[in-house]
Parts: sequence; structure tokens; C-alpha cells
Amino acid sequence: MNLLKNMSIKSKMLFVVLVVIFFDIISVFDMYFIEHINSNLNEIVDSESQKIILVYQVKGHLAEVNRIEKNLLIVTTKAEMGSLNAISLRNETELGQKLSQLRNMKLQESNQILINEFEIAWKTYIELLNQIDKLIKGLTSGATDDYNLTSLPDYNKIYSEAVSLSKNEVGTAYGKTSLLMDEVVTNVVEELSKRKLESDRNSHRAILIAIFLSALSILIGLYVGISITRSIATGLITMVNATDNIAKGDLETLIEIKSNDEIGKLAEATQRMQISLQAASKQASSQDWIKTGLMKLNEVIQGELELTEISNKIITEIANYLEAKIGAIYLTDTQENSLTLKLTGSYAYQQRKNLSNRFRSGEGLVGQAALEKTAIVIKNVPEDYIKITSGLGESLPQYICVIPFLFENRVEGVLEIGTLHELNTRQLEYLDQAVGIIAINIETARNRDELASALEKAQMLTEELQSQQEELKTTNEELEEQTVLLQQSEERLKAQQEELEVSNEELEEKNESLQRQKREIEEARKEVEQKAEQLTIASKYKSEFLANMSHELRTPLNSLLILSSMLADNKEGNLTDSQQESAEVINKSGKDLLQLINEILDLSKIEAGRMDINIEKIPIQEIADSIRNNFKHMLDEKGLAFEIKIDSRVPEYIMNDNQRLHQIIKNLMSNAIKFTKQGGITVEIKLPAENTKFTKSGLQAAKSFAISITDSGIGIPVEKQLIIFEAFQQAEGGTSREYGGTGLGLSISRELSMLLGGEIHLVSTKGKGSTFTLYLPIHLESPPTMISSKSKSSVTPYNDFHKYKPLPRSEITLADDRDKLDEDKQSILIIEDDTKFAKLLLDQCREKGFSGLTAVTGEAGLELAAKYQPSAIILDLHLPGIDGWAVLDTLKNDAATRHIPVHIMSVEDSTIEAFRKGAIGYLTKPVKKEELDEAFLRLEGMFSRRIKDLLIVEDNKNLRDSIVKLIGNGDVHCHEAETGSEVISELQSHRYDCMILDLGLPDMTGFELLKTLEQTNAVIPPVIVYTGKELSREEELELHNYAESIIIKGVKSQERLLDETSLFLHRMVDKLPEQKRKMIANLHDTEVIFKDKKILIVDDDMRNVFALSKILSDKGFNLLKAENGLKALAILKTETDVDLVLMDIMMPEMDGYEAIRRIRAQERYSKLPIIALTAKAMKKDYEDSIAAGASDYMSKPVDITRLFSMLRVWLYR
Amino acid sequence: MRENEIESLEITLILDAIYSRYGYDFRDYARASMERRVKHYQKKSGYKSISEMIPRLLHDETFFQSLIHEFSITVTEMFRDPGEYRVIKEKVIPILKTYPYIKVWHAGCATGEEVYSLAILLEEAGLYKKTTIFATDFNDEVLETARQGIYKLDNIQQCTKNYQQSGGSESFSQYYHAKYESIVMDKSLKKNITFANHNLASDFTFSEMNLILCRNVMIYFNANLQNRALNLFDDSLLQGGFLCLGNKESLMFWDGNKKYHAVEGNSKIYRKLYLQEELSKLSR
Repeated sequence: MNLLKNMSIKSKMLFVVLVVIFFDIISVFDMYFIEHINSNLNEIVDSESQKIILVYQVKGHLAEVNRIEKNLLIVTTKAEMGSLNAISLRNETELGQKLSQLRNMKLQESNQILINEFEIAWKTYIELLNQIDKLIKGLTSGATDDYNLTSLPDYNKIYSEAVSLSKNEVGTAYGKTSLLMDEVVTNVVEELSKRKLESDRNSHRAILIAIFLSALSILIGLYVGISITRSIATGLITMVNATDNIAKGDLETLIEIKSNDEIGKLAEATQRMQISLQAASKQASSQDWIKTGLMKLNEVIQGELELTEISNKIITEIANYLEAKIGAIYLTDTQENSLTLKLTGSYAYQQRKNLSNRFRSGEGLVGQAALEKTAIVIKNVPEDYIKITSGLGESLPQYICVIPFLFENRVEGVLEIGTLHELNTRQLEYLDQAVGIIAINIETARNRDELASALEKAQMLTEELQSQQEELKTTNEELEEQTVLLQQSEERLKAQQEELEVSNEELEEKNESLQRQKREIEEARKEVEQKAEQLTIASKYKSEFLANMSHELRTPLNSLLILSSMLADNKEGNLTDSQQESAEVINKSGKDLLQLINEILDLSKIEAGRMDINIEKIPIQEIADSIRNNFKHMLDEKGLAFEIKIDSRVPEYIMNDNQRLHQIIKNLMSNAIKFTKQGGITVEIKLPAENTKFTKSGLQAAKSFAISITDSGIGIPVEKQLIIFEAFQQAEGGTSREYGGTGLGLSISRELSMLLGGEIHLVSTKGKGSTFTLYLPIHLESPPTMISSKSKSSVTPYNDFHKYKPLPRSEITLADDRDKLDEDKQSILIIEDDTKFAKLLLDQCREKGFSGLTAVTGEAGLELAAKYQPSAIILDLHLPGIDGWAVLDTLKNDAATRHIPVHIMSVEDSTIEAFRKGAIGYLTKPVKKEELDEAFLRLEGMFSRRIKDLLIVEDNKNLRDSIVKLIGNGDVHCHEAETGSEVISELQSHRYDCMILDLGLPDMTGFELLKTLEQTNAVIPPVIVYTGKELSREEELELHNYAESIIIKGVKSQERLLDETSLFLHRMVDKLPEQKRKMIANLHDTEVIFKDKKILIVDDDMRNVFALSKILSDKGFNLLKAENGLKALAILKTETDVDLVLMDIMMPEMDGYEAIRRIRAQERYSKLPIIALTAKAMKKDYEDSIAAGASDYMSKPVDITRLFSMLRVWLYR
Repeated sequence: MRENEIESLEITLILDAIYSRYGYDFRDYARASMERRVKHYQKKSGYKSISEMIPRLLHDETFFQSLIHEFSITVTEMFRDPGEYRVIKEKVIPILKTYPYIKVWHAGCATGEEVYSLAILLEEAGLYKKTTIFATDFNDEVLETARQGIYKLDNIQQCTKNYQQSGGSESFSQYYHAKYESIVMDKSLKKNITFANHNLASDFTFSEMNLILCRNVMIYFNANLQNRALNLFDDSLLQGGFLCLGNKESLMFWDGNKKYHAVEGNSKIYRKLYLQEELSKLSR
């Protein structure tokens, strides 16, 4: 079958056809053969039947002839005989024809012999006939046709002869011939059946052959067909699969058909197709790759990207797509005039120092590519070219491609990529097409950028305009508001003016009539006035006398009280108990006396109209509280019930003189308690009943309130109820003995109540108790018309009174310290005419470590003040000669004495006038011991404000002189020093109040000087550094440890020097208020927890740092300072034992948050307490500092007590 | 209640809400200005009424941030009101020169143009190296702009003109670098500037200053807040220190104005007096 396989399908098909044809031919032959047999048979049958027919025709003709011959013998007429002869002749001829026909046919030999015999027989027969015929003819030769032959003479003879002949001879001949013919037929039939048998046999055989051949051809056909079909089908299926694969796109697997047939060829052709398809698809896929790449590129740079962004995306995409390892993109800088390219995006590109980010046209490869507008490719990249770096190493790109991209033939930029392998054509083609896209997109991006920036600009402008509009509006509003305010006041003024004008006109009209009346009244008035004046003078004299008497009484009492108090203190312990008791009794009596005098003084003062009223806001609750506080003790002691009721309708505040009000209440309360033995006292603060009748005009029930004090005491009989308000009167003549008291209380109260614009009512039943009700206006408008203490009454020349005052006996002075004044000691000048008190003050001075000077007159005092320049002055106001007021004025008006603090001690009540004139304190005599001590403390505090000595340290003489000129005056004593050593010795021998220091000195620097001074035990005064040197921050900080202020020399420096110097010369030693200082001092002792703890203060605010460090070092802390976060970190590096950090937040260099974070980042400081200090107040700021790692948080300015409690918490271990 | 009364109430509520939720206190800002800003923002953000914004404001911090942005009016330019800079140069600088170290507080610095202007001025006077400028604003966003020091190029001609009018002696261009239609201020100018958030309505003094500038900020405050701010400045100023206000602002209505005197005629630059005044107060 291999043969088949190697055959072509055509051959196979041909082979099949041939086989079929072969068998067909065989079948045809077979059929032909059968046909042949049949036709042979037919032919035989035909020819034989022909023969038979011919034989029978011959036989027919023969019979005809025979019949005619017989007929002829009977014919009678020649005509009949003629027609019979014609018929006989035709038969004879036809017989001859048939016989020849028969003879021409294939005849069996036997038949031929028979025919031949027949012919002979036939000829015999004919001759016999002819002989008859001649006989008959001879008869008829001369007769007419219609002649009856029978009639002829011979006839019967001839006839009988012819009949005899025919009966013998002719019959025999005929029989013989007809027999012969039958024989021939028999022969033919025999032959025929013989032939038919043979033919049947043949045809049977042929059919068998045909059947066999058909079967054979079917078998062969089947076999060949199947095998061929199979070989073709297998090939085709393989082909189909292969082509399917191709259709599926598998162009790589080649078809494996090795056959030589058409399928093989088809396979070959398909393979060829596949190969060419592969080629085509390769072509197509590279286009595809390019297209995909371009599409991806397009996708990446889609959207409204900004130039840098788009550049980065482009280079990243292209590098990724080409698997380039490094890449950069440069865009033309539209800002530049010449073509300049700027790096805008890169891929895996590492900036190198010597490589530029900008290229001009023609500069470097990038510039060159832009210049040429063509791509440049480098294959062997030099060693020092940019390297592809990764975390693991670096390598050199093998292949560098620099391609410009153009838009409308304008260079938009240049793309540079480096790869490790050479780029293939499709990559190059991709690049080529990509740059086109990039160019367009870059151009678009540029346009977009421009558009966007234009839009943005427009928006910005709009916003800006809006903002400006807003500002303008607000400014306008502010101005409008101010204008409105101004307008309002203007309108008010106008209205007032209008009013004034109108009233002026009216007044003018009335004026004239008034003038007349006035003159009349004036005259009357003058009369009255004269009388009144006389009266007033009388009354005034009385009151003045009383007032001055009291003063005079108080002066000796002053010494008495203090001395007895000192005695009673028994400081030296040399008094016996009874002596001490006596001293106490003296003191007590003195005090009683003083009380009495005070009350007389008060009364007389009120009557003389010399009581000042000081109106202030008084909360009702406070009145109630003070009553309870002041009298609770006394009430409890006496076992009296007590109740205070406040009517809720009473306003919360009243306006009145608090001190006087309390004085009245005190009097009333004291009386109530005094005269009540059992029961209780009720105080009610309420509104007056509407029907209350006031005796004093002006007091209205609606605008007043009442304080009533009801007791259950002895009561006052009706007839005495008026009297008791008079001075020195009590209800019962004897009561004073029983109840004590001066009897002045109620008089004073009444007078005071009038002074305060109110009155006192009394309701009382003897034996049942009394109710005193004080009515006062809720709002006291202004002091009732009383003569002010300061208005000099022409009637009562107050000062004149003193002229009568005798000069003190010890005019010469006390033995004071004027001869032994010590420079180091503060000195106090005492101007006091009461020598006893002066002596007392002198002793006090000495006791407190001061030198004392005394003067008994103002004149002497002024003299001493000018001469000795005391540190402070204690001044009495009542002096012989010029009085204390004049002394004070003179002191304050003289530049030489202006700075000396003056403390007033006088029997006169303290007035604001004294302070206005420059006094620093005021004590009302008699002075209590404690008050005196306080006054001395106050003076001590003031000494530092005294301007004493200024040391100017400056080596330049001219400059020194100019400073002296600038600052030196009566207030300031300037001392000069040129060198550091001079300063050191100066400071050791002398105390200075301030030092101006130049940093550059001939023998040492200012720094060294200050450090040296610190080591000596000299007292360093406040230092003002005055230098031409520019200082570093560190130097400044270091200087700040010693110096109060630093001034850099310059145009304006002298001005500032003056300001600063006077600032420090005037400044208190410690700015902290006394109370606060005490508080801190108190805390100091209790806190062991603070001892030696190390605190780091981080703050750039020097004010805060110094304030904090002062307070904290007082508490025993060790302090470190840093001005910003960086410095703090540096300190924490070396100082590892810091206990706590106070961290400011807002600082230059490094802020607090960052500093805290960095501190916390260090393991060892993870638990270090850090307190954040900030000026910020918001919740978020608090959270921020905690988030940064602060332990706690504090707002600036720092509250010291809070800070300490916080420190206590965070330092607690 | 009339419509505008309701609106006024709404504004009070929204300002209260801001204060309670975020701690920013705008309640003492000039009312009319606040009303305009709030209404403008309401329109911009599409709310029908002001009170409708409150819930969002409480929950959405970014919404609040943008409202804040609306609140701060940042009209400023380099060497704005050049005359004032000239006065600083002539009257203030000579005195500042006598200090070894100078602290300046620019309160309400907005986008920082004037901070840089002052830095330039100090630089030219040779003082910048010993100066620390605290530039503060309550709005973090503008503060960031100030910190970056990047400004639009288009205004620079006006600024240059201002600079020259203020008495600038150098070439203004040396203080910035122009790029991409913007200018960025020279790095050296930023060195001594500390930008920080500080709210004049709620925060306190944080350091002692030689010079405080607060220009065109207080016009947005009501009298209360103006007083608070001025007291804050007073607490922060050294004796003899300087205070610069905007040219529509004044110390006239402030109680402490006795402690200050204008350094020149109509100028809005004041100097704090040395303490003679204080002294006389003490002795009382």
C-alpha cells in the first residue's frame, strides 16, 4: 500500500477510474460477446429462415408452374393458353431468382448438393414443360386466337401425347424437385437448432463471466476506494487542524505532513503560507506593539497634566516600554529668549554635580539634538557617563539615544534614554512616533498651562480685588464709626450750644428784671451775710479750737501710746509683771483718751465742715458681712441673739462713703450692744416705708434705703429721745457711769448721717428697747455743700493758727547723727516739732541701722536736707514756722532734693494731696508701732530708687566726658574709671548704683572684668554694657548673666543710654510686689523636693528666662538655659542628669514641638518631664504639645504658683 | 423678628459655634465685616441660610478651614505704604542699631510680603543678621504661603516702585529669583524669620520685642478686641520699643495711648515711652 501512499490523489483517482473502466470494458466485452452470440443466433435464424422462406417460395413457384402446366393442358383457346404461358413464365423467372438467391446464401454442403440436384431436377422439369409447350404451340401455330383448338385435327393426338408426357415425366420431375426443396428445409431447420444450442451455451458462459467480473470489480473498487479515502482524509484532517491553528493565530507550529500527495503539497503550501503569515504577523505585531506603546503613552499623558508631571509620566512610560534603564526629558524653556532646554522629568536619573540641568542650543548632546532637530545615538557610552544605579550597584548604559521632539518644526524638547541593549528597529520606530505625540501633548500642556495660569491670574485678580474691596469696606466702616462718634459728640455740642443760646436769650430777657431784684436782694443778702459770717466765724472758731485742741492733745498722746506700748512689750524683760500691767493700763487709757479726742475731732470737723466725703460703690452684702464680722464676737460674749435681714428689693450696690457709713453703724451697734443685757439685736437692711417722713429735704423714700438696728435693751424715754443726739448727753445722767462711753457717738452719727445725705430716726419705748434707723440715699450724688478741707477759708486762717504755736523748747535739736554720718549707711531726716516723737523716731532709725538727722522746724529741715542729702525724710505737717506742706513743696521743687523719698506722719488725716505732691507714704498720728515699722520698711524699699552713684567705665576720655555730661546732674553722681583693675578696686571700696561698662578696656575685656568681679565679693551694681562691638548671640547671652542692658554705640545710642540708665537708677531692687516675694520666700522653706534639681529652661524670651531663673534659683534649683530647640538638644547631649525641661514653643531655629519630639526620640529621655510653655491658648495647641511628647502644658505668662505646683507634681519621685 | 435680626442672630450663633468647637474667637471681630464674610461664604457654598451651615461646620473640619480662609483678608504687598517704611528706616532703625540683638513681631503677617519687606529693610541697614522676626497669623494656610515666600511675578513692578519710594538703595531684584512667572524670595531673607500660628483674639504674649508690626489687622476687630491686641503688644514691647500700625488704625481710642508717642507727625509708628510715666504711677 506504500505504493498507494506515494501516489498522488490524481493517480489514485485515475487508478480507481482505470480499474472501473477495466472492469467496464470487460463487462462491455462480455456484453458484446453475449450480444454477438445473440446476433449470431439471430443471423443464423434469419438466414436459415430466409433459406426456408426462399425454399418455400421456390417450392411455391414450382407448384404454380406445375399448376399452370396442368391448366394449359385443359385450355382450349390460344388466348387462354397465352395468359397461362405468361404466368408460368413469371413463376419460372421468380423461381430462378429465388433459387439464385438461395444459392448466394451460405449453405451447408448437403443443402448445396440438394440445390444443385434441384437445379438439375428443375431443368429437367422445364424441358419437359417446354416439350409440352412446343406440342401445344405447334397445335396452335396456324389457328386464330379464338379458333377452338379442340376442333383441330391433330389436337386430340398431340394432346393425348402432352397429357401422357406431363403425367409421367413431368410429374416425376416435379415430385423430385419438390422433394429436394423439403430436404433443404429440413437441413436448414437442423442447422438452426444446432446453432441455437451452441449459442445458448455461449451466452450462459458469458453471463457467468460477467457476474464474476462485476464482483471482482466491486471488491477491488471498494478496497482501492477505502484506502484512498483514508489516505486523503487523514491528510485533510491534519490540514484542517493545522489551518485551525493558523486561524487561532498559531503561526509557529509548522504542519507535519510528509506525504507527497496534494495534501502534502497543500501542507507544504500551507507551511509556506504559514511562514509568510508569520512574517506578515510579525510585521503586524511590531506595528501593533508600536501602536500599543503609543496608545499607552497617550493614555498616560491624557488628562490635564502640568508640565513637570507630564514630563515625568512620559519619561517613565517610555523608559518602561523600551525597558530603558535610565531616562530624562528636557523641555524648552519658554522663559528664555534663546533655545534652552531644561530637565523637567527623569527616570532612574541621579543628579550629578557636574551635570547641568539646563542646556543651550548646541550644548551637549541634548542641545545638539535640539539644534539639529534629529536624533543622536551613541553606542559605546564613555566610562564617565551617567550610570544606572540601584541599591545594589551601578552599571553603564550601553546605548544612549537622544531624540528631539518637534512641534511645527519647533523644538519642544529632547528625550534622552539609556538602555543596556541596542534598540531594535521597532523600538526606534516607536520612539520616532512617540516623540510626535509627545511634542503635541507638550505643546497642548503648555497651552493649557498658559490658559490655566491666565485663568488663575484672572481669578487671583478677582480675589485680590475682592479682598481689597473688603479691606476698603472695613476701613471705611472703621472710619465711619469714628466719624459717627465724632459726629455724635459734635451734634451733642451743637444741641448744647443751641440750648445755651436759647436759654441765653431767655436769660438775657430775665436778666434785666433780675438785675433789679438782684440789687435788692444783694443788699439784703449782704446784711444777712454779715450776720451769718459773724455767726460762722464764731462757730468756726469754736470748731477750729476744738480741732486744734484735739491735735494738740494728740501730739503728746502720740509718744505716750508708742512708748507705753513698747514698755508693755517689755522687750528687755526688765519690768515686773505689775509694771508691765501698769504700762498696759497706761496704753489702754491712752487709747481711750485718743478715742475720745478722735470723736471730738470728728464732731468738730463735721461742724467745721472739714470732713471729706469719699463716694464709692459699696455692696450691700459687704455691709452686712462687716457688721456680722465686727460684732459677732461682742454679741457672743454678751450672749445676745443676733440677726441680719436683707430685703431682697434693696439694690445690690449703693454709692456712699464706706468709711463714714461704717462709722455710723459702728456707733449704733456699739450703743445697742452696750445697752442690751438680754434678748438680742436685729439688723435690717430694707427700703424705707413710703410714708416715711424725712426731716431733711432731698431725701426721697424711693431713692433711699434704710438700715435699722433694733435692740431689746433699756430703751429711751420719749422726753429724752431728742436730747440723746446732743453731744455729751446720755439718756440717764447716771448711765455714763454705768455704761461708759463719751456720749458723743450719737451726735457724730447724726452729723455724719447728714453729711452722707441721710438722717437717723429713733423709735423707742423705755424698758423694751430701741430701734435706730439710718436712712441714706442709694446713690449719693455729690458731697453736700460743705466747706472742703482744702479750700482756704478767708474766715478761718488755718495756718495763722500755728503762728500762735510756741516754738518747741528744744529748738536746738536732739543729739542726732549729723557728725558721724557713714557713707555706707542710709540716713533719714526727721522733721518733727514734737521732740519726744522725734526722739522716738530717731531711736527707731538707729535700731534699724540707719543714721538719723532731726529738725524741729521746716526751715531747719530744708537746710539739713540740702546739706546732707539724706536717703529719706520723715515729715510732720504741723510745724512751727513754714508748715510741712511748704517743706514738701520746696523739697520737690529743688532738683537737689527732688529724688529723696518723703514720708509724712501727721495728726491730720491722710489726703491724696500729699501723694500728689510727691510723698511716698502717709501715717496719721498717733502712730501705732506696727504702722511705724511698716513705714520704715517702705522707706527702706525706696532707698534703692534713690540715685546715688554711677560708675562710668570707659577708656576714651572724650566719650567718658560726653557720658558724664549726658547723664550727670543733681540726681546722679558720676564716677569714672579707665581700666578693669580700677573698677575692681573702686567696687571693693565703694558702693555704686549703676555701672556703664565699655567692653574694650586697656587691661582686660569687659567679659573678663565681669567674671573677675563675680569671683571677688564685691557688690556688682546693675551693669549697662555700652559698646561699639557687634556681639554674637552667645556673647550677648553671656553678658546678660551680668548686665541688665546692652547698648551698641551708634547714632542714637546716647539717647538710649540716657533712657536705660535712668531706668535702672530709678528701678526698685526687685520688681516683684512685696506680697509675692514673701509668698515665694514662704514656699522656699517648705520645699525640699526642689533642692538641687536640675531644670533646663528653653526659651528665647530673655525676660521670661531671667524672671524664671531668678525665682527658680531662689528655690534651690540648678538651672540650665537654652535659647532655642537646637541649643537645648546640644545641652541635653552633655548634661544627662536634667530633671525637668521647661520648653517654650514659639522659638526661632527650632521650635518647641520639634525639640520635644527630638528629645523624646532619645531612649534615655523617654520619661524626662517636659513642660511646654506657650502663648497659645487654644485646645488644639494643648493637644499639639502633648502629641509632640510634652508631659504637661502651661500658658504664658507663667503663673508662678501654678508652675510650682506643676513642678512638685513632675519632680515627685 | 425681622429678617435681618434673625440673620444677625445666626451670625452670632455661627461665631459661637466656631469658638466652642475650634477655639477660634471671631466674636469680637468687626461685625459688619464678619456679616459680609459669612454671607459671602454662605452664597458661595450654596446654603439657603447661615444657620444651615452650622451642623456641617461642627462636623467637617475642612469646611471650617475654608470658612476661616474666607475670614482672613489678605490684602498686602511688598513695602505697602512706602512712606511708613521710610519712617522705619529713618527713625526706628537707628535706635534698633543700639541693641545687640533685635526681636521683631509681625502680627497678622498674612502671606508675608511685608515680613520680607522688613527683612530687606533690616538687611540693608545691616541689622538682619542680629534680628529674629516672628511672623504670626491665625490662618495656617496663608502662613504656609508666607513660609514659602513665593509670589506672583505680575505685581513685582509695583513692589519695586514701592521699594524705591521707601528709600531702598539697592536693586530690588537681588532679593528674589524669578521663575515660572513667580518670584521666590531669597533664602537668606528667610533665615531669621520664624513663622508661627498666633491668634490675637485668644493667645498671649510670647516674647519681649523691640518692634511690633500689626498693620491693617485691627480694622477687622471691634473695640474690645482692638484693646486686647494693643494690650498684648504693650505687654510684649520693651521700654522704648516700637509699634507700627496700619495707616487707618490709631491708638486714639485705647486707654494705654499715653504710654506711646508717634515717632513722626502723621506716621502710625509709635514708640513706647521709658518709664518716667510708670514711675509716677508707682509713687501714687
